[in-house]
Amino acid sequence: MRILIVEDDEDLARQLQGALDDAGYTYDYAADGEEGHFLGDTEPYDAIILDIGLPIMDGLSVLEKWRQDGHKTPVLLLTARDSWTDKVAGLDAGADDYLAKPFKMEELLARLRALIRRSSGNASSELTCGNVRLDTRNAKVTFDGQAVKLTAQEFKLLAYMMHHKGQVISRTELTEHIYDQDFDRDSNTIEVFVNRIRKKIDAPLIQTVRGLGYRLDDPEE
Amino acid sequence: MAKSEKNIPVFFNNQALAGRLFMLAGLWVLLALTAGGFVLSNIFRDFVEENFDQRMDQTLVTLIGASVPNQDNIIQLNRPLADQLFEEPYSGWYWQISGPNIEPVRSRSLWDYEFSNSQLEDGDDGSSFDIIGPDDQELRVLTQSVTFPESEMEYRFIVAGNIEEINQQVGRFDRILFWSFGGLGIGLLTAMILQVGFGLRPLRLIQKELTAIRSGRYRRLGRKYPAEVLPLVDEVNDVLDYNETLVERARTQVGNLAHALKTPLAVLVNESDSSKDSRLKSIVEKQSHSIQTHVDHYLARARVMGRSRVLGVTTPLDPAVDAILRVIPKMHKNKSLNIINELPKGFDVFAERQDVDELLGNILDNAAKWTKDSIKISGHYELGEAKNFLELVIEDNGPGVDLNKIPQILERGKRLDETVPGSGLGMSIVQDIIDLMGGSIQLSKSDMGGLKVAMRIPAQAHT
Repeated sequence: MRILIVEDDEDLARQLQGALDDAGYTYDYAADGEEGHFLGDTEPYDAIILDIGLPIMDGLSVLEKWRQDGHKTPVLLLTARDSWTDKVAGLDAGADDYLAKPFKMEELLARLRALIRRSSGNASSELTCGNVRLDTRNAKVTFDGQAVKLTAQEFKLLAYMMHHKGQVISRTELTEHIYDQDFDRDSNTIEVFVNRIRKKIDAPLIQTVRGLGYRLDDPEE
Repeated sequence: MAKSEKNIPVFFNNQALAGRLFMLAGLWVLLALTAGGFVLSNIFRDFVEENFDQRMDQTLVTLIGASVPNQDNIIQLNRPLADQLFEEPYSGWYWQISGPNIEPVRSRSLWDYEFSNSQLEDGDDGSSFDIIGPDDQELRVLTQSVTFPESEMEYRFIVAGNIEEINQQVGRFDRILFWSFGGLGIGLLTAMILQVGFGLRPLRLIQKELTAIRSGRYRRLGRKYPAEVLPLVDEVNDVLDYNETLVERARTQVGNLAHALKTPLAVLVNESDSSKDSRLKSIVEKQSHSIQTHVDHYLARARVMGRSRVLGVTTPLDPAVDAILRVIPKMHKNKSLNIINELPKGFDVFAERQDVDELLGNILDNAAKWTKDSIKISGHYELGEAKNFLELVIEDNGPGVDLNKIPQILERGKRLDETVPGSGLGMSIVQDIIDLMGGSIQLSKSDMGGLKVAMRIPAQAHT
């Protein structure tokens, strides 16, 4: 899952990055509205954390522009202003959720998980596929009830595929969603990760669709 | 206005404009009428006295013409004087003809009385003077000394009339003068009261409009005033504008400060959260919470205090309700909410939009948090004596609350269920706003099963 953080306060941005890192997300970071808007406009993100008070271009304008251009990425608004008038303005501009400062990181992560889950059509915070369970709350994966040890990149790949179960996902799409923009992308690494996951989880879950990419199939469906 | 001043009628209160105008005009009318009356009365007296003197002179000339002295130098009248008053004893009109060493000849009206030389010696011939005559009557006297060719003796002819006759005529005139001038004075003062009342009506209108502004029915004074008052009206409107700007600026500044503190606060809280030093973690957490409480408190205060001075603001209810109802489902996507809106349309409430948003947002968010799936908004308009009210009811079909715990819900920072996220400030903000609007709020159990929030807030049909 790849997240965009648009926040001008350096310390808060650093904390957000740390928290997202720990939770197994990939992220990009912009410190002003203009850069934030550009990234959101050009890169595929699974969710965006957007501060309202930003230099150059304020968060609400950024959000409105994205929505006008047809971007549907879920957006979590961060704001110091928590009056209902501000909430109405934020949600009317197209935000999917609204979090007032100061906030606890757990609260932010919980809201973020809910946003991503809802946008991919999943109702529960625990994603399942056959005997594999992935808990988005604590980034734990089990197979037949046994914990599976995955590296960060392996987890990110599996999580993205489990959010988009049954869909054909290209290598490029996987690369875009598990690496941040600065990473030197080599789609061959995706194949390496897929093979490792196949070894760690001994079930025919990830299907290779020749010439197109991969698909996660649920044997029970 | 001080209490002691309230008991004095306004037209006799020198602290009142009407009183000043009325008393000054009253004084002027009183002086003018008194002086006028005095002058007129004196002119009339002079006129009556002149008439009186002419009548005496005429009588004197007739008397001299009818007088003939005989060989004993006794004056005899060759014809009687026509006026009957000279025949009636003590009638007030007298004549007498005196000469040296002779018995004076007298009118019958003098009866047994005779004017003595000593009484007459102060007076000159040809001009009238006053003496005391028979029966203590005050008399006006005219004398003329005559020497007839037939006799070498000098006679003094005396005619006297009762001054009372002059006094009676002047008195009658004075009475007429008094009543007519009195009537005129009362008429003038009445006209004055009407004039002052009419002239000062714009000031009373200003007072009425200011009261209306205080109660929130108007925002500014109207401009339908006379030219003299318009500058005052414009000044008052400018002061109202300035006041609003000032309050708004102060509120914005408090808001900016409070909001500016929130990002650093968020950083501190999160930084301490990830710290391994448990003592540091606990101190930062405690102090940050304290700062957060202060910030929220002053934000709430700035809102409440600011609003209570910004007067005369109304907000259309429908757009505010629509906005909150639009965002509530977005904020509670985990539930499929069925919101029934039966609120009558077209009303304004006496509050700022932000307060209305806060009021509805908090209550509806609370309802959405607790409801199973349905929220109902209903209401009806009530015409009151001084104000009209909108009874606004928001209820849900959630588990409801323990009726005994209802008073706690509106307390600041109180949360009945700590497991559901929230600051616990929402419902106390609701209470503050309701107080500010001059309304009331009641919590009870809804027929739908959950909490029923019934508010009675001052409102007016949308104009």
